[in-house]
Amino acid sequence: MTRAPVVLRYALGLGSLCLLLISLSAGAEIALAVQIGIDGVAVPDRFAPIRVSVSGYREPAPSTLVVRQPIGNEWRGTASVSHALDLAIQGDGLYETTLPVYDPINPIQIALVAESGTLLAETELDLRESMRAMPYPLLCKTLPYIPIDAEVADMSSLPDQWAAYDGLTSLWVAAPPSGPSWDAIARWIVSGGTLVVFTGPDYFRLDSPVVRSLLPITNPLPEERADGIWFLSGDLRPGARVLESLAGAPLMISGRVGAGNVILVTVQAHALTTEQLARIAEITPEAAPISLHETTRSSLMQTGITGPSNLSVLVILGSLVVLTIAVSLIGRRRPRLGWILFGCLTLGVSVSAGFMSNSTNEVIGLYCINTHLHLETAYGTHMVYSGLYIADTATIDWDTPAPFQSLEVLPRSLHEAGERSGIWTTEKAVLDGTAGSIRSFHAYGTSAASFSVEWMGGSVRVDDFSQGSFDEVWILRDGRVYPIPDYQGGSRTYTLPSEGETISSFTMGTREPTRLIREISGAFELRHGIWLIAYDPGSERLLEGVERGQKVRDIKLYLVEGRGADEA
Amino acid sequence: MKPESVFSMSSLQGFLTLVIVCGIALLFSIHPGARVESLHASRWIIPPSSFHVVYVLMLGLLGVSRGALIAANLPARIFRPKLYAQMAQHILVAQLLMLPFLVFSRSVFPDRSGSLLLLFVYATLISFLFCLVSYRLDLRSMQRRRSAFLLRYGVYFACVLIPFGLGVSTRALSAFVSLSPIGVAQQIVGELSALPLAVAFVFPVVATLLLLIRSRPVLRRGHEV
Repeated sequence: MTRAPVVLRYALGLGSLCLLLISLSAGAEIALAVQIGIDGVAVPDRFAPIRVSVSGYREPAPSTLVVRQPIGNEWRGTASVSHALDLAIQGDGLYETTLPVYDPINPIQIALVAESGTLLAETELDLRESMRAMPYPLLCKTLPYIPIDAEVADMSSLPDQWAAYDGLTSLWVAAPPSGPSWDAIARWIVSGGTLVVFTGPDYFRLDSPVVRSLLPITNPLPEERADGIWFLSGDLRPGARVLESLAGAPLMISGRVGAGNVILVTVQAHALTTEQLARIAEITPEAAPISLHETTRSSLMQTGITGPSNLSVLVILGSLVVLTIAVSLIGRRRPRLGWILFGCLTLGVSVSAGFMSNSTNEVIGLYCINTHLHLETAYGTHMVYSGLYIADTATIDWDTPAPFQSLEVLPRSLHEAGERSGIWTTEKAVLDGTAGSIRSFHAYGTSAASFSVEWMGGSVRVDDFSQGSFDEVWILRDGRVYPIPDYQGGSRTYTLPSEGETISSFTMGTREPTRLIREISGAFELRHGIWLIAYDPGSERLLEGVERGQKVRDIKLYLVEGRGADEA
Repeated sequence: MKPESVFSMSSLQGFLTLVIVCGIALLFSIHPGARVESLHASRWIIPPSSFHVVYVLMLGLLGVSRGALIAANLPARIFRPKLYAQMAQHILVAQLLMLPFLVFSRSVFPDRSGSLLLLFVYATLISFLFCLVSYRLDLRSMQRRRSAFLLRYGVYFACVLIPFGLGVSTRALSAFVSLSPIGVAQQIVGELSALPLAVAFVFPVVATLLLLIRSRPVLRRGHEV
């Protein structure tokens, strides 16, 4: 062997090794740092914020983050769900969104997947140490007192999406969160959250249009009393009440905002004793997110089945029996006539059977009711509650009703619950359905203003941009209900009856809206102010182009806070 | 003796039984509930495919009874083509009677017109095969002056149940399901796959051809040459 080929071989080998090392180092370049939950604290079966820091990203095309969550154990039964996050990873940076968290006892796997399906990077998150089994109060970290069940967080790092606050029972604010976080907090409160806000001299730092709209007082003004303590004073809003007083001045004022509560502490936290802070913790109501799952389930149960009728089969059976006997009797004497009659009659019955079956030429594998609740106060929220009845054991592609991640309400036992296969996106979930099972989901998002309502004495002006088709619309003013019998949509002024009924005695149209209103009137303070309630029952539609038919109905309920003419 | 007519009393009984049993099967294949609530609350366990299974089984049984009847009423001299045409006539009448049910069953399995056509062909094939088997068994028994009742129905149910039982009992023997009319009917209306379907059709086709080729011309009742 000559020397040159040996050198060449070594050179080639070394070159290949270098290439391999370069490719390995290039492949390992992308790094993911993931945090799930507010400051890493997540609660099972709740939405939580997810923050992903990506570094070393060199891909030319955007990639997707896929989060896989194993659920359950041997006792409960096991399942897993994978979500493709609504984030397009295009470079290094911090990405944030909201994720349904099911069972953080199990390690959560996060993978960065290229457009081609190639796995670019992956990591695993163990939340066992930091998770909370139940929703918890979250306190500003500057507060001098921390209740035993609470967590603390830096107010400047709070999430910007309101669904991310789903795991909290209350939020105690003593330092200003960022603008987008305030907006998200406001939406969370409107949807049933609880805010405790410490003010006193700190009010100057906290003051913003959002805070002013949330406080249970108007014209807030910090004042220093003779004892040197700064109080925030102002005029109580309708429905606000003083819970505690200190030295003759209101110390805690509670007010309702949408379905939530705001508790104003008129002094700064450091001016209070530990006992006084413990007392605040004691009387602070827990967040109560609105749930329309029961109403949605009732509507689902009342959904009509699309399918062939037994009566049609009986008609065909009877016709065939008569035909067989008649043709047999005739055919015995006159076989030729028997054959002709037999041919004509069977064809006739077959054609009739075809017409009967054509009316239901779709097998329904999934019945779905989506109840959309649009809360339109100063901060619009859109909540969707979905009830699914799976009629056929098959894998079903379910088009989610809103462009937000849906959280499934899982049963305690997963043994017979059916699998959650595929990767769920904000548009589609893949369900391995077991015939006869019911699945429930909810999703939280924001809602753009679709209505403007202005009370003008005996009439009301409604500007409707929703393009909905409303069966029933009502105006509520200070607890009295005024139906709008001939609602037209668009921009119109409606003259209202002189006397409205009280909300407790008023039966709102058909059973379904009555159930819905009853459910939300418990959560909302509808006895004060001006509200518009619009109900769109939606129409049942059959989804085509899917292997198993799907019958879907979207019920829409708008709850809009109006204003008086003087406020306009 | 006159050949067995499709308008005879015994034929009427056979066709009426077929119509009533298949009609009841179709009736029970459809859940009676009107709302999801009733669907959810009920313990309805009859699958929609039960009609199709019953349809294939009943066509097979009709073939068995027709074969025996044709053998019993065989004229002194009949040509083979005419004999087979007579058998086919009975099966054709039965299939025509089933046509309204088959058309209606599209509402239970929509977008499966191809499957229903396959099922129709398969049922015809099975019916004709067992008609031939039953005919030959009856002729042989007549020669020995014995009743073939138990034998013909025993053979039929053995052909239906044994492969199906073997197929569902052990995963290793699951291919046997394709030899049973029950399994084939379920496969046709369920998940169609080429190989089991080919086996399902090849077996009765080959068996029918063998019976047709190996049969001898009939000279008189009970005596084959």
